[in-house]
Amino acid sequence: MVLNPKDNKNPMNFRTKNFLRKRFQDYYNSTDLAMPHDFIRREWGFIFFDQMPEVVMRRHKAFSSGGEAAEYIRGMVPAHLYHSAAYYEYPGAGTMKEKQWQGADLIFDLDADHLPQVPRSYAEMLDNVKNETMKLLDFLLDDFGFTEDVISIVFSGGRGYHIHVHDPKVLSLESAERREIVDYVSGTGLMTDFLFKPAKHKVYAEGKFGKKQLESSKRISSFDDVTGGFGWGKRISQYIIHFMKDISQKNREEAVNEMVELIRDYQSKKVSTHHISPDKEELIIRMKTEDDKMGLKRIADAVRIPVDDVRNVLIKNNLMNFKRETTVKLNKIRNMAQNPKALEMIGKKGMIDDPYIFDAVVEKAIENNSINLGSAHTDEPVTADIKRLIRMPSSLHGGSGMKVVPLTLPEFKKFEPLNDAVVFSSREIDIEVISPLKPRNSKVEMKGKSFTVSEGINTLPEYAAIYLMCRGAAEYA
Amino acid sequence: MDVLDFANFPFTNCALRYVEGLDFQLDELFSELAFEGVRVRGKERVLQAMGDGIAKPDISDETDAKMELLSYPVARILVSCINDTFLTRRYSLAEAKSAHELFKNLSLASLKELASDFNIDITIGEHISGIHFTDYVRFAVREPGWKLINRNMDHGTVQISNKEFARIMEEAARKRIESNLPADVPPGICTVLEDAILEIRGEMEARRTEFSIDGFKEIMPDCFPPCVVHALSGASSGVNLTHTMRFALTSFLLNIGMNVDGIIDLFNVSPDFDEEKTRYQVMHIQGATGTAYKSPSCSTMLTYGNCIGKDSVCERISHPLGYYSKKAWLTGKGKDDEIKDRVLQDRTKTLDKT
Repeated sequence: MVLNPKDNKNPMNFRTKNFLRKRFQDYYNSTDLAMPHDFIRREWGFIFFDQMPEVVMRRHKAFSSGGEAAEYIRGMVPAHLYHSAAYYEYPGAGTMKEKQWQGADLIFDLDADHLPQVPRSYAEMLDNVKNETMKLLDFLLDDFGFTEDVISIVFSGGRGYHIHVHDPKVLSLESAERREIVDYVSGTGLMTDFLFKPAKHKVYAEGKFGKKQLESSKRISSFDDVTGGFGWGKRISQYIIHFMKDISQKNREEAVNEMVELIRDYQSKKVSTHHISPDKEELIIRMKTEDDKMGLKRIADAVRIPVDDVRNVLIKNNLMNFKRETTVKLNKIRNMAQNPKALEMIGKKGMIDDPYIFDAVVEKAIENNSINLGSAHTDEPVTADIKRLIRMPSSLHGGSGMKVVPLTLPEFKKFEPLNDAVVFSSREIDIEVISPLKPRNSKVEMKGKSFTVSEGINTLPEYAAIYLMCRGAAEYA
Repeated sequence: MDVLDFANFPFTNCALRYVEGLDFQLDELFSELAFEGVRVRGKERVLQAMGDGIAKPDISDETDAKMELLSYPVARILVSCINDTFLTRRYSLAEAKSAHELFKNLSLASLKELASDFNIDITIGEHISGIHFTDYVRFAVREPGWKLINRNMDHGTVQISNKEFARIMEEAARKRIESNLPADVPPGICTVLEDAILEIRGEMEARRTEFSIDGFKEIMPDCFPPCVVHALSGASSGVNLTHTMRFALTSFLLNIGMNVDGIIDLFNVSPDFDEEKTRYQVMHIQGATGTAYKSPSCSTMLTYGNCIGKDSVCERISHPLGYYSKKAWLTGKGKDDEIKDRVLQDRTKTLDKT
């Protein structure tokens, strides 16, 4: 979706529209409008102040020169400006078929709405989405090997960032092929069976009865040729190390509880008890509830099924006490976290030798490293939509009055949206905050300052006043 | 690569250039007695494509190789004259599959040449090759082990075995062959080839009616794909299916003609069964609101972790509905094409338009 209509449900009166239009025009007149790469072959779309708050997109527009585009924008002063990610033979044609698709940039839309965290403020929301963008950039640079010069990072002017990749190799990718890229970065369809291969080296545990080879030590396959691995394998091994260090620093009770929860969640999702007859299942449950101390082996002998099946039934029915098991494992993890050699085996060589704990941690690692793109979790096909329109970099966002800022990677790292995307002056003006005032609009944090407004007339610096008017929370007074 | 290789890989650009460099006119191929053998072989390619696959002859000298090579444009022209979607697909797949066997025997140098003929960016090694991910996703097989996320990828390069590379080349060949069909055929040539065309059409017709049993009205549970069987056994034993699997199962059953009540009964064992809500959802998927939903394709099933693994029939299809009709055809229960038409197209008009 190109514009979130819920941004702006309140009517906007004629005076407000005129004021905003005038100030947007001043901005466009004073700015050297940088045109997107190969803009002649792109379709353009606009939403004008006149129809707002209705969202009416005028699309199928094309420009043959930068001067023509700038003249149109300065003359018409749209509230929102978009161009296609796609390149067409006839970008101005009225139907997709007639346009003749010739390729499209690879686009990622990172929106705070797609993130699981619930932020306490707009600033925090923007911080979260910036971190998510950083994670995605790591995928694009390291895994996909795009060079910095083909990636542009754009602050959307609203709740997130857009990434445009215009590497010639990606332009012709079709929708299903782009979906594979989305699945890669969002952790969708990752199967750990393919991530590991049986280790070449045997791993032993030293115990009372001498050395014992552990059941199934395995190795992350991307560590075969490269120390430290790469791709998902590298992320997972690093997360495991982070997890080990983190849990070792917690107090004992907290650490045990966290481990129990982790293991229980993982195991109860994994086990299947379909093949066990309901009678036997019921018997197992009864035996365990009657005598909590009864061991798995005794139950198994009594019911005459394998120990593992008894275990699975108990896990499924939440009767399994993981505390003793996990306490032993926790001790092991703590020892490993102290031991540089053990950490090196994981971090440098990719050897994972205790599936009991680490399978559960791997699952967490995947969840933690996955990028939350709208398209992966909802039906919104952003990256896979090869005909989508995207906000024009350097234009103004009509729902916030902030600038859609194109950034290089070093610029992005230093970028502070609530300061650097603010273009209007600090001259004070009056606005009338209209009722009902939503809590999220009652406080505006911009340019390092914080303004609290209430319904009725308020005096604010122009940039904050324009922000509230664009959001539909205030009228020009 | 030389003319002996071109005979095996007639769809390469090098082979095309070689043919263009030969000293004869296209229409001679269809009129001269000297090319009778080429025409017979061209027709044979198409007939074999409908049957057990295109068999490659033993080629011992340059003349054999040229004959074999020239039979390829003849076959393409025959397929173009007939211009039937099913035949075009079947033929393209068969050509690619028969080449696949031969990719495996090529030298590294020839493999390199072949890859560059297809503009595939690859570094070929003795056992493992590194292919650029954009080429990889274009031609990868749609199954879990081939998903990009389940591969080792570093700085854009995906590691593949040489066996997998052969499979990628097969898909590249299939796509190229299919995308160039039907070809523009100079006027008159189809008329000249009328006898061969009639024979091929006769064979197509025979294949269509051979297994025909009265229509496709009953539900055939033994033709369900593995993913549907798995979900059904889950649903009927009271396991709560994920939302995506519930949708996939419901839309699949609706698409093959099962009625709403039958489907509701299936879900009636869930611990949280709510008949009214279920009815509403099923009817929504059926198209009560004007949009009839088509059941998701294999690649979508894969994406959401609903593919439980492929069996031999899965290898030949890309959509659970395709599985159903293929299996029905294989077990002699329906007309392949009719089912395909009905199931894949009619029920989903609204969705495809969007």
